Amino acid sequence: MSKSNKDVAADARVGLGAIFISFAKIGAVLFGGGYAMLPLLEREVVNRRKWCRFEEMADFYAMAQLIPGVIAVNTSMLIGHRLRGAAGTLAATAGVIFAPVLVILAYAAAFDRMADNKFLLSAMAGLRPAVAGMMAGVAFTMFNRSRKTRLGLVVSLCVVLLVLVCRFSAVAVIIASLAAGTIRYAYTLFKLRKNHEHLS
Amino acid sequence: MSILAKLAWVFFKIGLLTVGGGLAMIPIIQYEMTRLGWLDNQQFLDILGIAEMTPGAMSVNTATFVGYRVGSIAQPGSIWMAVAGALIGSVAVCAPSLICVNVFGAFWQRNQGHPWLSSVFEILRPLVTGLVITAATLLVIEALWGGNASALLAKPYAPDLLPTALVLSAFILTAFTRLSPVYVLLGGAAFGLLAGL
Repeated sequence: MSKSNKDVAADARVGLGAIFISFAKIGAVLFGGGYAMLPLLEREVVNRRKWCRFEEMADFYAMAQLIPGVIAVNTSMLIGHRLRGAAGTLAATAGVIFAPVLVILAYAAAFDRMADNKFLLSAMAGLRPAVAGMMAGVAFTMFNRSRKTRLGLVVSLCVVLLVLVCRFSAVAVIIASLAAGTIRYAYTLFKLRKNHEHLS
Repeated sequence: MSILAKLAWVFFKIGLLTVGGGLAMIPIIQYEMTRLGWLDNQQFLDILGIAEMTPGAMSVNTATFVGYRVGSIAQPGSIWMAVAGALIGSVAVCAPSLICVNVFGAFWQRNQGHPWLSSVFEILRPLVTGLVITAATLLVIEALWGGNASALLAKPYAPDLLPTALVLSAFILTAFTRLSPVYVLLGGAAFGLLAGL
């Protein structure tokens, strides 16, 4: 599992096979929906492969929410696209759905014999709290990163208030923040121009 | 229209209509499946439960499962048709995002570092933090109190010992060590198995 230094070189062309394998590994342990994907992605794509920085990965993840479809698959596609363009999106998608498709195929072939399996049920009873605790750990780490700037602290707390307490949809909040970011940009442009007028 | 073409079209449509993730897909999938008679409501609930217990996104899992069944309707007794159906369903549900990412991704790469995008992402980053805090809170409530937040608020009660211990240890291992999340999840499943014996 160790990797040689030459793979880490920023300009090295990433192999499609490597993209497929990395996302296949993530897909095989992707329990608990799209959000649970972040720590897996961080470990594989940021820490091990060094394909992008954590902030970049978080940006892809934010973008994935705006694209139609499954968030986990969208995030994989965006990272695949960043690495190898259209071919990268295909490799990442094939990878991330590989194990789930095999598992469901096995289930479909065996149909309802597995659903009441005692061992499966008790393993799931342990898996669910582990997913929840892992997510809490990720939330803790991300909040520690975000609260360093005042904007980050305010935005992250507001989102919790809006989505968790007021039950706003995540999509609505994301669209609102796109608008807020655009207004903020327009405001800086406006201020710049005004300063310019003062000077001349 | 052949039933496999219809399968591809239905899941393409489902993939296209879903914005904001798998949970938003559930009512759309349910409507389409019952309308076409591919799944009844009970079967739909079963597949939701299975999708949750197996790795992968709920909607892709549903697409794989329904595709398998539709494939075996198309040619009864043929396992290959069933597998082909499963693959068609899974690919079709991902296809709209694939198209969007290739269009959107090109735009993103041309404009990376543009002050407008930086300004937007300075807000989007903490926003994702907020969404993750929200999801984590809901998942912890689900794991410890069966997701019944309103009953919990009305009359707080202590959760069971095992799930509490698992949530806490998973939290500590993720937040304060560099242990791979895979081992955290496998460990949780292993403790669940032991407790069930």
